[in-house]
Amino acid sequence: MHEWVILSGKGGTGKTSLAAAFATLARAPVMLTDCDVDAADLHLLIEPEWGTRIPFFAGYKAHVEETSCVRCGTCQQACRFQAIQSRADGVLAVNAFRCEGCGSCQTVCPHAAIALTQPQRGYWQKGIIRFGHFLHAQLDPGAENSGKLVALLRREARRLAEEKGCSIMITDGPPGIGCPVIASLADATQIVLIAEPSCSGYHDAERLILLAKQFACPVSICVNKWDINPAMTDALHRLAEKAQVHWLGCIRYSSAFVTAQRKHKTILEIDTAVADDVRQIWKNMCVHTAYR
Amino acid sequence: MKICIASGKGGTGKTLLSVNLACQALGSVTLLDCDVEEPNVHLFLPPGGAVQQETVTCPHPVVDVARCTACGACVKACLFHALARVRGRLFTFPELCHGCGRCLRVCSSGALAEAPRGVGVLRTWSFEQVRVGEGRLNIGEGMAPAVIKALLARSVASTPVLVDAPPGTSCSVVAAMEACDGVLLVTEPTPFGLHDLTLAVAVARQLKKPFGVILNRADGQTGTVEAYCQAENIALLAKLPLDRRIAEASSKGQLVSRVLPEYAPFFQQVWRSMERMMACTNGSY
Repeated sequence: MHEWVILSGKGGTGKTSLAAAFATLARAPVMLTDCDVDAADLHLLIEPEWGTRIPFFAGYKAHVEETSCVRCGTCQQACRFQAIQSRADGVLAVNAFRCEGCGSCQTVCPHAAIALTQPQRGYWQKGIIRFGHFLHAQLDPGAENSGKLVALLRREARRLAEEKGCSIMITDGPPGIGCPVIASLADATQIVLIAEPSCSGYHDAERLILLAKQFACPVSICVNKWDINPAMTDALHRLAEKAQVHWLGCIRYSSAFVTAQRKHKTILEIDTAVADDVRQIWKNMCVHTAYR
Repeated sequence: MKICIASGKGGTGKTLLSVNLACQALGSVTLLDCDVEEPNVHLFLPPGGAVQQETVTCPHPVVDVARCTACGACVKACLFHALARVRGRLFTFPELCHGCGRCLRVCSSGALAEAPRGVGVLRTWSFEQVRVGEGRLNIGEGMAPAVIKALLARSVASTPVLVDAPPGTSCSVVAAMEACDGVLLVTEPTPFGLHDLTLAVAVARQLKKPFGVILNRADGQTGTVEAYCQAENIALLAKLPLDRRIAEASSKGQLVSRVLPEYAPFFQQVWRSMERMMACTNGSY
């Protein structure tokens, strides 16, 4: 099974637009997954027919039972995340944003006044799209465990892809190089790195390539908005050669990306020049990975 | 005054705003780069002189095999699955450890001790009147909030502080936003920009921080971001127009407010709007 994960390091370089375009170009049925779980946008372009929402539970939160608590403060001293705070009335309360869910407070409480609950952190759902199947998730704003939600989506995607006989799995990845990105790499056969020709884009692409090397995942790279800074595009080309990253090509700077978003369409349905750039990158990717 | 510059969607111009605000400040100012997975401030405000550096560590358990009875109490206590017992032997997985110390508390044979593990690096330097602090997560590490919290905890500044947050709306963003007094949310006039703005607004509201919106790449199409802000009674503090020259200058690591001086007043105006926002405590934001 081909499992391509679209990543960028830096945010806003065009991962989602490229994922939607790739999904329309692949042989149906396609398994398309949006793994940017704390700012998922891919559904806005492809407008799926949604299945039911499935709640996502992960991690723990501590809760102080007011009636059993004698306010001794033992838990406050044990908590390394400064999550237990005294309210104005002296009652101890857990700041849910700071609570790491480790349960140390529960271990030390001499009065068994602390309970741990497993809260809902978001939801995930399946969808049907015109070129196959779609998986989407939404982490609650401010919630933790985005990596676990990404891992769940990747697992479900693989299962669904096998069940439905999909020819390929295309994943729209999260920005950065941290926990959700690492989770999205599980079993990926290729990373498609979409970089921006800027000093930020270069710096971030370089870190992502180093991460991919650690996980022994092959990388292919394309440059979006290449003509904003042709010298930096050349620098990215040299970086690709040096790091043995497969060069896919360039996409020109165009307002068509914004137009496509506003019309809820993929870039292929809007501007012919940009669409040609994207099609060429797709072809190069197919040849490189022997996907037909 | 500590202001967090956040966005929800990536690539909307958080760093562009942060670095240009910092060098358009009237006096000295601190800028903390909390996008520890991909820190970019250093490309715009490079060190003029000495750089101070320190390692961010997280404690993790180490096993004294001679004392361990393999009772499994620590394995059961660890809610992050950072310890496992396999065929009567205890194994640790440092990359899963959150450094809470619960395993040590439940160990009855004194077989566990803690050792620090480097997860990232903090660097500080000066650029003109700007004191820059940067957090940098080690490649392959997942624990970004630990580095963000370490950076925010080390910086005691009497000057105004700007915090360049990571994209998204998850725990990393909370770690950056929670330490601040107010928030600027940078967005763009696209469906993605609007959708992710609504999520970032939810985080700012949950944390009870005053916030305002900066619209970047405004292209004159009267849009949905304005309508959303109006309907939600959110202050739209300023609009930076869509201008290819801004993208080109930023791509070279240049400061837009310097190389395109016509934009300097924009950043000065954002400072004034921010100060007004922070002075306004009646909850209208």
